[in-house]
Amino acid sequence: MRNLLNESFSRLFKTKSFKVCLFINIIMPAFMIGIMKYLSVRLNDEPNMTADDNLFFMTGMLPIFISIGCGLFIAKDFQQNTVRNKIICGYSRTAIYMTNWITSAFITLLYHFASTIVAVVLSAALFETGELFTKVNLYYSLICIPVLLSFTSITVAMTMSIRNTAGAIFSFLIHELSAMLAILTFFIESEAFAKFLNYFIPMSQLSIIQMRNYNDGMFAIDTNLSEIMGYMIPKGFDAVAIPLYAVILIVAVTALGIWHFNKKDVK
Amino acid sequence: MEYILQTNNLTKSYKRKVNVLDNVCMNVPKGSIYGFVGKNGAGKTTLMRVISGLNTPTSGGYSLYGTDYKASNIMEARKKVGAVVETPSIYLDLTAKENLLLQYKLHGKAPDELNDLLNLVGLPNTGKKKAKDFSLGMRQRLSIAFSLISNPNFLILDEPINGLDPEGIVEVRELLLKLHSEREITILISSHILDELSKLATHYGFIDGGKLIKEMSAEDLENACKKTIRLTVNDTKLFAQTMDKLNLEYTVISEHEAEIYSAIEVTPLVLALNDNGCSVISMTQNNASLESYFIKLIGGAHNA
Repeated sequence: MRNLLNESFSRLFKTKSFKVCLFINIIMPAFMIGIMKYLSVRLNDEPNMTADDNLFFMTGMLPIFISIGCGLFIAKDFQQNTVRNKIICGYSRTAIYMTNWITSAFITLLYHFASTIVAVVLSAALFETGELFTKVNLYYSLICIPVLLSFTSITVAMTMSIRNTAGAIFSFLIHELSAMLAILTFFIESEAFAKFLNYFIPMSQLSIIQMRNYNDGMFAIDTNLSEIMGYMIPKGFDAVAIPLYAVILIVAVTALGIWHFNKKDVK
Repeated sequence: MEYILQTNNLTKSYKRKVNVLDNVCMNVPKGSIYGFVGKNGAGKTTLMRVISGLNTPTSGGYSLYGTDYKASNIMEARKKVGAVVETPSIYLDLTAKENLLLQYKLHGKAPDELNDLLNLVGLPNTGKKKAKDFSLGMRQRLSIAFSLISNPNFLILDEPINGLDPEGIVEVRELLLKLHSEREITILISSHILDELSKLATHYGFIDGGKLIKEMSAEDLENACKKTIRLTVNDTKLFAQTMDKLNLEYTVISEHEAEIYSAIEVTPLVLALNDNGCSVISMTQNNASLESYFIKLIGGAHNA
């Protein structure tokens, strides 16, 4: 598998879609924060932005970039039939799948950290550091990783099942569909089930992470906004639920993807 | 005889379809160039895909280097196999060199022989030209280069001369003959261009409708395809005596019909028969090629 990873990473750094997405992930937060600074100067407005506000600046958009960056990278291997070379070489399909998963996880984390570092450093330089180094932020930063990797797992499984660009597109649709499912929780009477869905659906998990400052559960941060934003996040924050459900989703989707990839013939 | 590949009642079927491969029992001898002959849709590519590991058999099985395909060490056996199945599998947005470098990484080998390999397949000067700008022949040759990186003992080539110009066909033929003689690589090759195949193959397998109809050596095929002269004579005993005197290969078919397998001038033959009291009533010359033999074989299979 080491040889597979070596080949995969060498190819990754030659892949245009990967580089374009990385560039956007760096340039977009820089551009947006620059615009905000410009407006606050021009309008003589009191800046109300701090570096910790921008800790998850691009997180909500990352599923799109995961679908494009990881999906297109994997799809290319099927479109150009180069996946055949790996099977003919004698590599097991499980090894090929896991190589794609590891490469995609790397892409996801690279995009995440690149955009986060740009957003935090730039907003700290242009505005204020704020409460960046707190227990709350550390916790959410850590649980953000399995949540993002659950998106990655869905993208890898979809692309390796559909085996072309459509897999990347469908994985993005699934991410969006999961956001719509989160809305359905409004109509669920059972509070326990609604809470479970909120914690389980990846898009909903991302919303909880992004709205962390309005969560009145675990860290008892009291703000007036908490009532307004309350509908978006479950009451009584469960510290274990998000990473646990994310890991369950990663394992389940990956196992299903490997099973399917092993079962089907390769073109 | 030692076999590199043996299939045992290999069957492959897809949903709601008849068997694409139907109980195929194929034997590829070590050191041979095995020409795999069949019409479009006969099952040639499917068989090559199955033995390359891309498809799984529905029933039956196969062994590579004596290792069963279900055995845990089949992956080791596969490492000694190179294959180009259907279209060339290359990264189109990379150059020939970049493509080969990735392939070397896949095999965990240092690219020491990269330039030699490019020379061997006739792609030494492609420079920064991307594979998407290559002709089909160049892509095909690059694919063959891929399959040679692992120094395989067994090469599976599915229609490697398909779409090549005459010059390209000669180049690929010479390359394969070179690999066979210099590196002692066993080659399983399928092709529609039967005349070209007859210049390479030492053994043949004929497939039709997913069934392997016949396997034979090139020698046997040559005998079967030899120029034949069919004669109708008044007495085949006298005919046989004359043939023995002239030391010619022949077969007596019936009381008045016989076939001669050697190339011979017609006039001296008739005179010799006449001298021995054997009158020739009629005479036809057949010039069977691999193509006509194949058609005859398939016709026979369909009529069976």
